Amino acid sequence: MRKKLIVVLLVSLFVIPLFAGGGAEEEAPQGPVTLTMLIPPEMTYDGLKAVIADWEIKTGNTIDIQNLSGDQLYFVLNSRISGGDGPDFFMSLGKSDEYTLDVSIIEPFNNRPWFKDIPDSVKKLMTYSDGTMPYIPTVPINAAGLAYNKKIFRDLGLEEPKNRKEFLAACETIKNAGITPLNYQGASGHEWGLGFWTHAGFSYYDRYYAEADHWEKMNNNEKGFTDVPFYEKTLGQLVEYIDLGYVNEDWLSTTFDMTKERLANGKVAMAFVAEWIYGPVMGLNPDFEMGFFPLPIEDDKEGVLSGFIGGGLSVWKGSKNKEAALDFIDFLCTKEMQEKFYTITPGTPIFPYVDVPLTPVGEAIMKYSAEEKASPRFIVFDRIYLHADFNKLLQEMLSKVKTPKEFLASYEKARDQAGQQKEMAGF
Amino acid sequence: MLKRRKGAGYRYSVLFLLPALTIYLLFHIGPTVSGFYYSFTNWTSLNSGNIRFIGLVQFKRLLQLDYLGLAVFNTLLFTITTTFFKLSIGLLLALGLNQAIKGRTILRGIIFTPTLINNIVLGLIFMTILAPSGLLNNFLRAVGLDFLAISWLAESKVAMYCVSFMEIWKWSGQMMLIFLAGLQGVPGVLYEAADIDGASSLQKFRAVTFPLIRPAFNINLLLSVIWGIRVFDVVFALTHGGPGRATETLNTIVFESLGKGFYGFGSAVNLIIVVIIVFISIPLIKGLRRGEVEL
Repeated sequence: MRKKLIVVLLVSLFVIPLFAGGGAEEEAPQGPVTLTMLIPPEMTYDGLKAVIADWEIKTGNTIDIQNLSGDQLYFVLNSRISGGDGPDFFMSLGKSDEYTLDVSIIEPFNNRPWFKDIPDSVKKLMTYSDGTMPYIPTVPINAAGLAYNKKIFRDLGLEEPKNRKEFLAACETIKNAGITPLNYQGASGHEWGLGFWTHAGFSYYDRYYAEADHWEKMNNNEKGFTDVPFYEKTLGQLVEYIDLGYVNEDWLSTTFDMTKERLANGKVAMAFVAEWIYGPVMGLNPDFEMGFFPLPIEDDKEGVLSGFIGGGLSVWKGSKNKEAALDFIDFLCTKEMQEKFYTITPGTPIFPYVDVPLTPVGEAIMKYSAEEKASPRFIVFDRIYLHADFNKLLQEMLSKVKTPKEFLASYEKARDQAGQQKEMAGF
Repeated sequence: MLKRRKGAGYRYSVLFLLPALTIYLLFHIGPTVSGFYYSFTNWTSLNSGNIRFIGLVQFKRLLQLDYLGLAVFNTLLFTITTTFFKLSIGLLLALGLNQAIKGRTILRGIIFTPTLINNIVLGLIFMTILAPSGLLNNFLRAVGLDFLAISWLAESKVAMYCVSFMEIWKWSGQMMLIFLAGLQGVPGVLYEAADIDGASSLQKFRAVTFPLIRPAFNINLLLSVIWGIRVFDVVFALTHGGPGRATETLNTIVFESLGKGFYGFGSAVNLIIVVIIVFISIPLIKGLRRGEVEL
């Protein structure tokens, strides 16, 4: 009898944890609460921290910011949510989350009072295929392009290049002046900086050459990356800039901090980044004059900015503090707090009612967008974007371990395997 | 007699075993069995409610991975180099610090200290030291060895050795400590006898010291091999598996798979690691035990 009891006890202890996630819903706590916010350090903007501080004073609640980066963040997020202990807020990458996360765990914001104020054109870039919009950008409307040092250009008698021929000539002049023309940021853990460079060519292709169903075919595996010779051509240009001596020699050791510093102190003339570089660079050198233009790809056409609505905040549906979390989101979206956020952390807000001066980069983004020289980044369309594989392969390609053709073939293979893992049609 | 032994004694044994056994079942056997099962499923972050058995598909996918060969090579290279150097350095340090020298307790403490430092912190320290304009290159340039000042972590052929170096630097002190424990169990009378026989230092080491510290050596060897095959944190802290895939190991594949939400695949790679450890450890334990001597 006792033996049986012990066996039952042991089996129960073994089995109970398997049902750990299926418990009854916890009641919302009364009184002040502490909410957790799982976001990367580079997204913990001073503007966001200022809004959090105001909300904490207003409500008596507190927000505990937990910083993790890249894959690590998603790994912890997935594990915590599986274990029923998700953070109240977490970083969302926007549309591409739809293809990596079980999005049913995210609270949709469609019924929030401020939702109707977002312009339809912006909503289009933010909503998932089922029409839900489960995040609010804390990285503003943005576009990737070449941020450059206007003073260097002026001193050398250079103008913003309009085509590749002019661009190469400008790089040569800058190089001859003893300044590194282009900054590649490829240190392990910071290699996303290399990924940005590729977006220029891919967005350019989408803007000028892609057929209307290009991404539909890519996502159904009817077409692959190796089937687009233009991709190989633009990747080849990135290798060529290294061969021509236009790129910082230590690009494989260059971190984001180094990118900011080198741009701010005039050691490099241009870096392929987005608007979020503006605040940090101005912080390092308040006299810096920043310009911004799309990377030219061909001689007969102007370049194209890679537009995106950056990452933002989402609320976990299972949060026991969900009401408080949504209250913070509503607070963040008020005119007063949006203006506070963007005054401290310069950027281009999504709400038209927010009145903040645009940065020079923001002005350039608006200008090029109005001229239809901006196209969303390809990761908005690619349902199987694998940033780790993509960026690591880029490191290999730029180190000449792989050719651009081999890069595309390897990425296609990794994408194929991921499509199979996700059991997507066509893979 | 037998009945009495199975009575009170048996009951007490079970009661004492129960807490530990429960924890072991819950936190070790449970996850291991679950992991084993999930290796054969299609589990991803997108289908948690619809997991199904798919046989050996995840293992087939692993074999198709472009950098699997490199990851296996790196794992073995790391295991062999770190095991060799950790044991050699640890043993030499232990032999040196087992002598009656002044300040040996402080020296033992200093050498053991790296073991206590978190790997992520160590990674940041080593990244600073090994950066292109870091401490190491500045030193090399200062002594006129400019040609040796390279981007240590950005050179595909060197990066894995840098990772191994950090591991060796960190754990040699731990190995030393285990060897010291072994050395202190060697009776001095054996050395006196060896001295009378006119044995040299090397002969004393081969005939007296090493056979008697063999259990300590075996523990160090086994631990080092297992840690080597399981290597993850030092790689992650220092290179993230880069540049490119140059420092990828089996466990970084697991980590990346889990980050992508491919849980079934990650479990399959993990199972392979467990199998490799078992296949290496069991013969190793058997072989090593044969060489042990008892006083």
